[in-house]
Amino acid sequence: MNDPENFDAPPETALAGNNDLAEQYAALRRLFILSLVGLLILAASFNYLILRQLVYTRKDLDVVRPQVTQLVEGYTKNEEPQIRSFINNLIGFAKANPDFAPILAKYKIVADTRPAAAPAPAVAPQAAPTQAPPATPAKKK
Amino acid sequence: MFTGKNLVPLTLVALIFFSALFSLFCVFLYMRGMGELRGLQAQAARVENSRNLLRLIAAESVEYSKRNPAIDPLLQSVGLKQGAATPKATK
Repeated sequence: MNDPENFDAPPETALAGNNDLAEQYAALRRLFILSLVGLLILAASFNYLILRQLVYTRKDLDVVRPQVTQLVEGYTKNEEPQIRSFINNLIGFAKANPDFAPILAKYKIVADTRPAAAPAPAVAPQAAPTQAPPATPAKKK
Repeated sequence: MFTGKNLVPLTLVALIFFSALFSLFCVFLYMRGMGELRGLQAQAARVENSRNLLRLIAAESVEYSKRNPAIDPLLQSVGLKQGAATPKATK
């Protein structure tokens, strides 16, 4: 009806054009709603998936967190000082016995140059570090 | 604009919007959890690497002690060797 081309058209033609427009509008509306429903199904599926992953991650964390905390604390408190002391002794021994030095060099163990507060040998990272992992346990929520 | 049966698309759009917000929140929590998990695994791996390195050095030292027994007191002090050259596994 608002179409300028239909101004001079007979009333029957204009009515037919209106019906056609109404049909197209209804079809478009159905299509739009169907698309929204599809999108909603997709979003719900994604939500379900991510929620499952979140639950699994939480369960893993609940199991792993205490274990790693205990492992790191035990290592830092008990093993690490002994390891450092042993390595320092080996370094001292290598100074007195140069034929032992290649063994230390093989593992890239060198005398620690850090301040006296934490005297310990430093080891190159690729050779599995003897320096302690962070003393602080995993960040807790 | 959205009256009567036009409420259907509006409702659907609102549902999708809130669903997207929920997804965003879940993804954030998931990423944070994964980050923490990776951090914990890295810590455990560092400890394990350190132990492995010590095992290797200990084994080589014990092997070396067969050639030069001067290192024996040092190995005995950490329990790697007991008296008559019996290598003992490290912790």
